[in-house]
Amino acid sequence: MTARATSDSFLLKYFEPADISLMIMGAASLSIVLALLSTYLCSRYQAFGAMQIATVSLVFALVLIVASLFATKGIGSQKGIFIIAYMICEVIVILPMVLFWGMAVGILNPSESKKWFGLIGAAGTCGCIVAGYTVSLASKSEIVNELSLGLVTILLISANVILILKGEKFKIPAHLSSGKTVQNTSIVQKFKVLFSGRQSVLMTLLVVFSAMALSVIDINFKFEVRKDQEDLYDFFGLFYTYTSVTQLILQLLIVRAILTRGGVMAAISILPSLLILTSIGAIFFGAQDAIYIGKFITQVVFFTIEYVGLQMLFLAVSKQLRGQMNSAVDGLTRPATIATISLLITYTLPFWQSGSESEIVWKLNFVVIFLCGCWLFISRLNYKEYLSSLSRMLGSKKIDFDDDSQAELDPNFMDQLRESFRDSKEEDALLLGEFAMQMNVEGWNEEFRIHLESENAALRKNSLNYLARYDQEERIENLIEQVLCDSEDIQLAFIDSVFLSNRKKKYFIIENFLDSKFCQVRCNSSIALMNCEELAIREKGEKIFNEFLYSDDDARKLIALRSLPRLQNMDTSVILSNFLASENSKMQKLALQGVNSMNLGSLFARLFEMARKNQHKSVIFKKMEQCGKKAEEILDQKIIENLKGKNLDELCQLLELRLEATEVSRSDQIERCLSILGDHFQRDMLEVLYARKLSRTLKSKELKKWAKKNLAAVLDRAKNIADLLSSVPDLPKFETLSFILSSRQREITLLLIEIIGILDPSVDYKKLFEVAREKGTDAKSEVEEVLKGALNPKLADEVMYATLTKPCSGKEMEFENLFDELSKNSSTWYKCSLLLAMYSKNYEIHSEFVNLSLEDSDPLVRECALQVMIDHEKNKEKLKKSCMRMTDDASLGIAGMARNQIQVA
Amino acid sequence: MLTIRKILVLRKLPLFHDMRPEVLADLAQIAEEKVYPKSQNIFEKGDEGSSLFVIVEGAVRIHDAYDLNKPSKTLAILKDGEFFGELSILDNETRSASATANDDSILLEIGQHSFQRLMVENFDLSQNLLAALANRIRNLTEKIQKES
Repeated sequence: MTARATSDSFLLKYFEPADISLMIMGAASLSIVLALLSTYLCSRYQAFGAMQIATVSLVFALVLIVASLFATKGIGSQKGIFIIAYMICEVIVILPMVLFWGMAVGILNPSESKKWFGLIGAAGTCGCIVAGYTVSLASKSEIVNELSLGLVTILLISANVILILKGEKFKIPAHLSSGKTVQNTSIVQKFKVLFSGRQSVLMTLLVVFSAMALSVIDINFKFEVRKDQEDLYDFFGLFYTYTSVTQLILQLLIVRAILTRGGVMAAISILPSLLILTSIGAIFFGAQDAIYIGKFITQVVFFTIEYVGLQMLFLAVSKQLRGQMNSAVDGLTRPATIATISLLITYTLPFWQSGSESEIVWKLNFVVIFLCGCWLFISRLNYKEYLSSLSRMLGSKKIDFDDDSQAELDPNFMDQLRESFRDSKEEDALLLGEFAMQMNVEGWNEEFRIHLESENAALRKNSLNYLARYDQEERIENLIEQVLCDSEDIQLAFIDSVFLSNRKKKYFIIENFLDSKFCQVRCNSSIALMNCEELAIREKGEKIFNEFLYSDDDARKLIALRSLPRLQNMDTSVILSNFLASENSKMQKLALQGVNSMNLGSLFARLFEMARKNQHKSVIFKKMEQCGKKAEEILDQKIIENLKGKNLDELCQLLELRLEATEVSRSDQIERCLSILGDHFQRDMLEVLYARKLSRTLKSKELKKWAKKNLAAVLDRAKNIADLLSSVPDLPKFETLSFILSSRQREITLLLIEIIGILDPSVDYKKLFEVAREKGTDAKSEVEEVLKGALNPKLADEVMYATLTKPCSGKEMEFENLFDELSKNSSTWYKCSLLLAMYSKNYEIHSEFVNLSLEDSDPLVRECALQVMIDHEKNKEKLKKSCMRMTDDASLGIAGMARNQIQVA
Repeated sequence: MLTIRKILVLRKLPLFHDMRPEVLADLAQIAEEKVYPKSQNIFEKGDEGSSLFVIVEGAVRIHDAYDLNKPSKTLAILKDGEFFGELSILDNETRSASATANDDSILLEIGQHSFQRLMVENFDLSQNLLAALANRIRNLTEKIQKES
């Protein structure tokens, strides 16, 4: 600030108005050259090294200037020295500041920045106040020029000494600075850095528009001051003192609040907004003095909030590039813009200064409003890019491949592919043939025919399958003899392809295979014929199929079972239920393949029971999915029936089936069922499934509305779990509870990820939370920043707390409090956790709970209850009696435990 | 051993990390508790491997095959919470080293057949296993890159 006051005074004291813009442009040009140099130095020595070199060089320059001033005093014109002195002071205003912020953003994360940037600014402002006042005092001296330049020199020397003593703290560790750092970069490459990506372009534009608006205000302010003020040293000294005091107040009281509550967006948009308001006011009142207010606002807000916001944007750049980017974007672009604007104003002086006062006011403020409007718009784009870059840095940017799903195949490419297929052998032909089949490419009949004689069975099979699907009827008939001589596998595939085709004569073709030498081929043919509308053919097929189904030979029965899924017009539930009731897992699995919408109703109870026992659950789910609407109807009916009885575990299973295996659109009934589940352990997982299904069926606007509505409720549940988790005592007895609550936290985090992902689909929140959990505080802070962008600062804080709270990290809760909180929940896991956490005194109070747990339906709970009783029951008779009862337990482990205890006793 | 305790031991294994308690309970059901007095051989190099072991208490020495002429070389001493033989639950390759109880030890043994049956029905389990194997490949690749 001492340099700023000195340079401003030089400018207005020794130069004419027409020279002012040229001088500003000259200083800016020098700054550009030095910014290029400093960008190079940053890439080579980091911002810290560049800062040391810059301060030392500036000190030397100032010493020379002061010496020259003394040496030339009274000899002649010193204007040349003042030109250089002005330019050096202008460089001092920009260069060390840019380098300092380059160092700061290199070592801080977003949270630390919000915490420290305000205070750093406040410390700087204190210096500014002293500086302004000192310059004002120095202005009374006869050697004011030498004195103020000397002061600047001393301050720079002090900064350099501090850097030498404490500079290590600003060095970025080798593992972070190496790698991507561009060594020995040329000036051209600096520009590449500047315009290499959307982020740097947007940041550059932000600097350009802010510098343009500020320059217009600054130059017009100087014109006005020159007209109005006589003692310029005194005026600038006092002006900067007042602005500094205001800055200090803002920095101490408001900046931190704005940064933490409003975030980066608020920081980078406050100044243009205020300037727009001021200009509107100036136009409204026609006041030329409004330029003083405009300058005051820029001076106060720019260095306290706007500049900090700009610096925070650099936090979304990788650490090793922050210094260079800062130097290139801020250090280079700002003076370049200032130079250009100064030049422009010089050549358009009549535009700014001619006309009546109201015309001047209107012109100036219209330009300011326009520039600030653009500045605001660019700020918004910058903020979006900042969030996007942060998530990219964290490796959580989502890449959407869906856009290419509708890609059409190029006809020329397909022609070439067909030619290749015709001429290719074995594996290549197999691959290309498979491609044509999977892509349902028609018109390759002749090419596939060529491969019918291939030695390769798989290629022959593919060719027959293709031709069965697409070739003409009469040509297919000619193939039957050939297929009947081929292997079982090829015959089966051929029949299936013909059966699934829409050919008129398909049953006539299949009938030929009733005489195949292979049992499975005969059986499959017979059951395919049972789908025919002609009675005679149907009966013919049924007769042969029954021979297999009702055979005494299990192997033949299995053959019939394998064929059964092809029967599409009959309810096969009676046949299937026998097989499903079997203990033979292979038979069960085969029988499940025969489930379809016709027999689902009759078989549902058995299927549901199997799914509950985890028997072939995935196959059952897949079959339900294939049954479509029918499955939906049955499940909805069962859910309604269950609501009357309120068996929550069963309701969960039904909902899981409904949500996982059938189409789901937004449903009040499902939402009611989910809320009935209350604090049930399965609820979060079910809500995740529901949210995923809704993402596929609801329109984006409706979906976001749903997500917003649900976020608060889910967050409340998540916070409750986090509260409990943090208060679990750090004792081995509570390990189970800690594990269970951690597991619940993980589940509800998945639900939050799903919901937040709906609100902002561009980020992979699963990855984002993984990063926050596993990496250090820097990553956590960056994650928080991304969340704040997607939600709002308050919600983001709550989400961070709910998802990242660690076990035993808060104030410990007493067992009795935990018991009151959790014992009402019917969850097996809470019961086990509470039982295992009991000491003797707790057991005495809650022996009734233990007795009830001994009769729980879940063996896990019974086992824990018995263990607790063995550990703490003092009444031996009571213990023996309970153990006697437990020797008949369905769980062999528990019965054994009880018997052992009786023997020990 | 209580099933819950088995769950608490199993959840610490990278293979079963972050799994839902219900799935761990299923795993605990197939995990058999085995007690080995000190110096008892658990398996020999060259035996057909078909199970994973988790050390609940005690310590296990992993070593070369016994040779009458010289003492077997110790490859590692594994302690509470550590596991060995994890690849055996995926294939039937023979054991690449021998294992002997270094102290009185309690282990959990998970057999290949039961595990694979469980894996068929449980996507989480398969996913975790794939992640653990991918991690192992990554580490080995890094190790090779460093050594070459």
